[in-house]
Amino acid sequence: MTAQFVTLDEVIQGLIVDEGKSSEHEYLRYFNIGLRGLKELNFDTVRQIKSVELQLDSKNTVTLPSDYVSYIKIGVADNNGNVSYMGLRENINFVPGTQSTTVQDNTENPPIFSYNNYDNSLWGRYGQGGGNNANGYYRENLDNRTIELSNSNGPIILEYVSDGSTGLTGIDIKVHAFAEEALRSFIYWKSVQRKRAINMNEKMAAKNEYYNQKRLSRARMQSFNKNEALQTSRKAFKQSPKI
Amino acid sequence: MATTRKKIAEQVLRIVNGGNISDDSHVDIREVMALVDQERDAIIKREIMTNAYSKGTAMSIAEAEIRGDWLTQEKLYMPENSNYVVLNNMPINLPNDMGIYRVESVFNKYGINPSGVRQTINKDKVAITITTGVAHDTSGGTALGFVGVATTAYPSVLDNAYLISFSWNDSVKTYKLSFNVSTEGYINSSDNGLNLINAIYNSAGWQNFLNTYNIMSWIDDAGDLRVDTKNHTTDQWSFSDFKINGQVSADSGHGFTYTVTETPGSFIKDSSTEDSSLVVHLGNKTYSVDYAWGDYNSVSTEEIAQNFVTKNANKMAMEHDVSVTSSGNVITIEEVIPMGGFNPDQFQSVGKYIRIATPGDIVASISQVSSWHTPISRFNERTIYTRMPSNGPHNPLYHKTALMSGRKFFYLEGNKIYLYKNYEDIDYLDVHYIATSSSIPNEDTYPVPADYEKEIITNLIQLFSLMKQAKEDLVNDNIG
Repeated sequence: MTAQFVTLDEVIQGLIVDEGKSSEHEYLRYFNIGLRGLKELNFDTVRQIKSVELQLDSKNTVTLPSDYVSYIKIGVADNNGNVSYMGLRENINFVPGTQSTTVQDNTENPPIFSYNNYDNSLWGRYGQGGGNNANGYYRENLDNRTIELSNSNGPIILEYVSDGSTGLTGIDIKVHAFAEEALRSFIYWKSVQRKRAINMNEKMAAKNEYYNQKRLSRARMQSFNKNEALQTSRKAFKQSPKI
Repeated sequence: MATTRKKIAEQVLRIVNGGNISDDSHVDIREVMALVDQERDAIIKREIMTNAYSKGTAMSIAEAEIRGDWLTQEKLYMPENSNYVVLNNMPINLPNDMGIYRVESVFNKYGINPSGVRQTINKDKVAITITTGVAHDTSGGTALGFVGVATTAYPSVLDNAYLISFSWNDSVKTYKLSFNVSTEGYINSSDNGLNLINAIYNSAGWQNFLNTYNIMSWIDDAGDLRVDTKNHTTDQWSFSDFKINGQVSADSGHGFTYTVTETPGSFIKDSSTEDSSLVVHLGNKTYSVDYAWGDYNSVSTEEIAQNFVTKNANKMAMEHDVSVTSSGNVITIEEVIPMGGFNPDQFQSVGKYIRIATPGDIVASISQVSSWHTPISRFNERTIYTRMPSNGPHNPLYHKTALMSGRKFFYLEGNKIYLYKNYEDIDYLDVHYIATSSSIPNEDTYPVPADYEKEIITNLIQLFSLMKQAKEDLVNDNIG
């Protein structure tokens, strides 16, 4: 375990110590709440982003990882070690094996474009417009937990937000050290939130503490050093037109 | 003196009966003793509940701490083909099953060899026998004995502070040292030379010099400041270039005249130029006891063994769960529970690597007391079970969370402790819990704090007063 991460187990033990308890009788309940807190923080504060290469199956789809929550970037690897974006196409058909019933009137390739090719279509067609993507197109299928692809042949690179816990157990479930206190505050808040015996002041204080800690961890996560600022500034200076 | 249940009961009975207890007393002592138990249980529960849950009251500290003096420990064997143990007493009823404080299994009883015979799992034990201690070598030669700084003339008024500087050579390297000396509080003598020597001696800079370079220093009968190496163990050392405020003796700037005198002497030096150490490699750590050159005269084998245990036993116990003890010149390292044993060959995967090294005078050997390693116990571990709410053999509410936590769980039903989804062949469980008071034998010390003793007596007397006020039905209704 590195200093960068703290296990959920350690966070809970810290909370139990904070509360002045000498036993772990509520551990399992706290763990359950902690898993939810971890997701909350991973979605927007810590942003645990993972990157995987996924192979296409016979239906031209890829199955999403078990801890997948939302995608950040979908693309293919290029020769320079970068990821080239794929395009979003909302009209990809989710139903596999369906027969086309459209009229084949060759609207995609009318004769007018055939005479405007430059260098064997390598540079696109005159008048067709932008927004197209040579790497292929994707559409997320939430129902099947897949990404449907078109015009794509090879494996794709998927960068996604992970929930930080699915598929993991025990000490593998961890949170960034900047968000440790926020997670602990979340567990305490949720553990008292629906208890009738706890007074409202206590609940409100717990809630405020969580949001304060969340703000603090968010600020820490978004640290921005001098070199990065300079790099950003210098990128804006160029003698050519900005594109 | 510690009290017993019977003693408290007798006290209650005497008060209730107004003095001596007659044979025809309406209240029997067994009845009182049962009530004492019930009262103690109620007090324990009230105490925990008040401390933990009654937020807002003046007495509440809102901490659910179970005090150790209420706990009972039982070693309970698991019936064959089962996943529960039966407590000998009912635990006290508290929220979140807090009556059960701790459930632990030490190791499982797996270990059937290929012939189908259960193997005996021993705790591995090794012995380190020290045969030669650290010698006191008196061979040596002549060297500087000690150096003195003597003042012969001094100003009639001291400055508030002086800068003292000098060079110290330990025969290998020269160190240039300087520090400020405050004379505040050192104008006791009319001899300002002695006052300055006193001020130097007590200054933080001089004391730091003595500690850092292992020097001893004193003021002699002539009022001179003396320095020497401890035990004369460093040869060819020198003390020179002593200056006050950066100026030499007889400088008008500071007004002191002084001499630095050197006295020849003999030095004693260990024939070995190294320190003597006993180093034990255990797992990924080393533990040692070291005798630095100049720190000792001679050290016996028994003293080395004792020193090693004093210095390292606790650390080794914390880091490797082993007990380290010494008897005479033998250090014994033993597993607290069978964990796979020790192995002197770090390139073999079985057992925890163990080896010794003895640079310097010490001679020692390591030997096996039991087998070097016991592979069948390699994955043994002390398992602490965490409490989960009782919901039967499959808990739909918490099953997934329990799975993800990576822990092992128990739940309580009546006086049975079940291990959740446990299919391991566990021998026994160690259970610590708050048992009902009735489990404490009559003549044993009754664990109740002194202030609660009075409360038990007061409450019981109130109870019996009520009983005495009630009119007894003396009419026999069975006469037809």
